[in-house]
Amino acid sequence: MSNLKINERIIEGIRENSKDNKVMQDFLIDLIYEEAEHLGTWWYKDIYKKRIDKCSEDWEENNEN
Amino acid sequence: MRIEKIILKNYRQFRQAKISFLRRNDSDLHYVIGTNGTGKTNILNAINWCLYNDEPHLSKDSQRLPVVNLQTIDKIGIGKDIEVAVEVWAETDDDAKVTFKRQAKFIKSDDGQIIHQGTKFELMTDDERGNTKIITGEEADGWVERFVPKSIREFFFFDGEQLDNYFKEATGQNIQHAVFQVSQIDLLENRVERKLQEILDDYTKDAGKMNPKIEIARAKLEQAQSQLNEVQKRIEECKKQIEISRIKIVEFADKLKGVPDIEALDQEKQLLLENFKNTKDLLKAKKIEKEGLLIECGSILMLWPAIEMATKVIEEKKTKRELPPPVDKGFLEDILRNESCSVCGRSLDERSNKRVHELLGEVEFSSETSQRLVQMENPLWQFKEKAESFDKQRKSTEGEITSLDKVLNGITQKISQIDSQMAGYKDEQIRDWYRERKKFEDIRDNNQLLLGGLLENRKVAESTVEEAKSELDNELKKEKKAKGLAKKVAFCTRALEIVRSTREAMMAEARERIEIETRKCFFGLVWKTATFKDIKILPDYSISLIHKMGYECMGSLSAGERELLALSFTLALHQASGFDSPILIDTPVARISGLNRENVAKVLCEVSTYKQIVLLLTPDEHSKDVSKIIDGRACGRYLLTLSSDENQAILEVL
Repeated sequence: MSNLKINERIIEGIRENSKDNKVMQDFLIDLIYEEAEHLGTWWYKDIYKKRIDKCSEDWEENNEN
Repeated sequence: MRIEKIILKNYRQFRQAKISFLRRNDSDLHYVIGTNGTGKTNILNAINWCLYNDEPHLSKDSQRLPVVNLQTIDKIGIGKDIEVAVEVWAETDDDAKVTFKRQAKFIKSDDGQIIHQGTKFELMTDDERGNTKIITGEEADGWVERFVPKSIREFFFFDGEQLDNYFKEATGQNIQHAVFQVSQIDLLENRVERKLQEILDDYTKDAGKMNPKIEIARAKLEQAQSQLNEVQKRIEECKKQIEISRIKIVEFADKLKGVPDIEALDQEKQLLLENFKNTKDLLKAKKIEKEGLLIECGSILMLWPAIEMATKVIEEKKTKRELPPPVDKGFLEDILRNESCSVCGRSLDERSNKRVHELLGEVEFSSETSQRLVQMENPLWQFKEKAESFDKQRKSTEGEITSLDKVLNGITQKISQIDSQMAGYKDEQIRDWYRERKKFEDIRDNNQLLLGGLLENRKVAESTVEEAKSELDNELKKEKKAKGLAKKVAFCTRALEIVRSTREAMMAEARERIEIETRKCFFGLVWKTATFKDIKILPDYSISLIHKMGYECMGSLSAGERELLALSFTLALHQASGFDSPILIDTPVARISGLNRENVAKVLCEVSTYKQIVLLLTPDEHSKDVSKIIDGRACGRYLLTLSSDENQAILEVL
């Protein structure tokens, strides 16, 4: 029980709804797993923002392509 | 996840006890049998106490007792410490072990009082290297939330007898909350979505600091969003009120089934009584009128021959021109006596004397008699007319009296019908029920009206938000310095859209799956399969059971049937969500009888092939029919009894 077992439908749903963009898909799935590890209160802003910094760049490139 | 064992130390009836739940490949069903008072329900309380630090299923007797075992209190010396502890040993899907442990310290004071010294909660698990790690505080609470979230524990650890109240107390919103938690829709909505939104707000605030136009657009969006949230909040409140009213209306309809509407009947009775009084007054007046008519016409009728005679005489006299007389008889006699005219004073000559004598011969009656006859004429005609119309009037009045009598009889009959309808019912209570039902019908109707307006407001608010978003987007694009932030804002906005559409799809899917599973399970459990047609989980998560005749029949369910429906819903929730935690049910079939009871036992056995099930049964519940079904399937069987001093539970493996 190191992590909360994620309901597979969430992952499937994210994949279905972001199938046009792998960067976005991975970003959201990573966030969900991250959340599953931190069920209580946690300082999420740094982690979220770091990922957004990185992924928004890749996402733009991906979008431009 | 499953419970491997529970260890209890000095907890209520359990001085020292260990209950192991070892599973078999084909089953994970366990049961404990105990008569009331042996501590069966306190096993359920012990788990709650360990995980959540409360005991929601305490009996009234237990509420008065300390959590510390009474035998321990007796045996321990003054000034000595007592430790109360409950450990829940859990196994995860990947075979990792975690032990939740709550300990409370007490001390026995000089006067024998038990004084609480403090409580500690911790959990033990193995780290990556296999070393035991002790976790406390918020992190430990987080682990409990992963095991069984506190807010939805009643779907995992519950009292079967209380399931009957489930649909009375739980609103659609509570059920929706449970579905969201168990299906982890909550993880998307309240964590990922909320946090992404907060970060998006941070970015736009940062951009606002670079350019006042961006700040204006941002503030506008913030305001539009807050208005939308406010409308949304009011919609939720409205829906909640409608749902509560709906449940209450069903509840009162249930109570009032076959019971007359005392208030309406009483109102009708009051109207009838008033009508009765008015009709009676009218009848009395008509009877007086008839009597008056008889009195008035009676004398006329008795004098009828005299009246006829008198009118005949007058007629004859008139024909003979004797009436009225041309000259007064006394006047003529005075002239003859005085031998002079009483008018001009001239002396009476022979010719005049002869003429006066002739006139006197013509005038037979005195003027007085003639006048009397003339005066009599009119009243005599009136009497005649009255006598002639008497019969008509009498018949009409008698007809009215007869019909009023009929009306009175009708009213009397109706009043006695109402009295017999109302007989045997407690007036005040029924009146209250009707009033309450009316009150909730009004609340429902008012809120439905309000909801219509709010939904329209929401549409407007949503389009305002969209406009504000696009305005902000344009301002961000215009500002070169904000290029980096604009990229992040666009990224977060898209991420939020994906999370929201995933959440919405999951919500619809979860509801549909729970509906299918609840239907499947309920029709497998209930023996009256021909009575019910369908089960619907409505968009607001209220549950509707449809009778084969097509009407909503939740209100007519028996307590046992309601329990079956609640159990079906609970099992469906587990099935549809894939949330893998154990189910522990106290007195699962106490209110269920006959074939339904056997069906519940069969379904629980079936569920135990993929989920841990622990049942706390009374000997009565563990009847021949039930034991035939579950004994072979159960991998753990315990008998719970009390020690001779009734202070300690004794657990025996069967």
